Amino acid sequence: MSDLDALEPDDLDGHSIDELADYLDAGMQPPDPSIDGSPACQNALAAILRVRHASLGSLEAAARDEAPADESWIGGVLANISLESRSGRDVPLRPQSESERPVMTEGAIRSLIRRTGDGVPGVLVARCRLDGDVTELAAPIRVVVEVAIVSGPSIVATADLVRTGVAQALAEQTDLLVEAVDVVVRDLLEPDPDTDTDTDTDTEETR
Amino acid sequence: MSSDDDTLAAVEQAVVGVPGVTDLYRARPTVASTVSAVRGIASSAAPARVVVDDGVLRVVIGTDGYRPAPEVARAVHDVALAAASTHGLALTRVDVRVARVG
Repeated sequence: MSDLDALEPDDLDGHSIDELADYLDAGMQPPDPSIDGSPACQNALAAILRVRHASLGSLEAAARDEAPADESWIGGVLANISLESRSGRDVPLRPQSESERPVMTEGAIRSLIRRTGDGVPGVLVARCRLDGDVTELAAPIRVVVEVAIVSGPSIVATADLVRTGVAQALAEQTDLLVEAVDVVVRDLLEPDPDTDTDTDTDTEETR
Repeated sequence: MSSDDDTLAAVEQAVVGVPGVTDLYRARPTVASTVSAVRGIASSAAPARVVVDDGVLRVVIGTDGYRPAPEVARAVHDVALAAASTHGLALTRVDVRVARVG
């Protein structure tokens, strides 16, 4: 059983990742209020779009040589998107008065991390997770971001861009006390064959 | 449209007008709010996206990803409290849930 098969329909407010992909293929027409009005579905749709855009570039080039493996890899990313887009735990924001109880969903935070990582050129986030008790305000947490990087530019420098970008985004958009952001390079993607690059095959971790 | 509907509509309008708010999602209904909605089923008004239960207003929003979300949530709390008060609805608390950023 694949990760996708293991997902329950309620994971994305009653929708599966396949249904969301079909909805995108149909140009999001006719409008489906149960998708359009679901933040979890919207987070997932945005992530699927980024994967597809990446697929048009280097992933597509990689797929020409290793289609089955590449499809499997993308399937794994989509499964993670489905899991991570769920609302998850409520993460408190710092209230300023007794009448205020602000929270951010864990799904929103994971989607923010994914969007930030995907925004670094040559990077596609495969998976991210928050380690620690995020339900307690000011409890220290660690963020782990697993990425695929297009080989060529310095892996360490690219991973560092992901790390600093994620740290900055979380500092600006949440009240989390982030102890560390660990970036794990899990996959190297082949660059576009028309581009002349160096290849580095080491798996590296930067903190 | 009842006065309750008017109040919730005013709160919704105030919330969506907060800079940085891009979406107002439907808060999950509680039993009490569901009963209230069923009672008002004859009304032609669309169901409110915000829910009031025992004096607690629940709001679920998406933000633009530029203005810091904690700041947006605080502003939503302030305007919702003010809008409700203007319409005679006393709230003990405003729960703002940020479900999407950017």
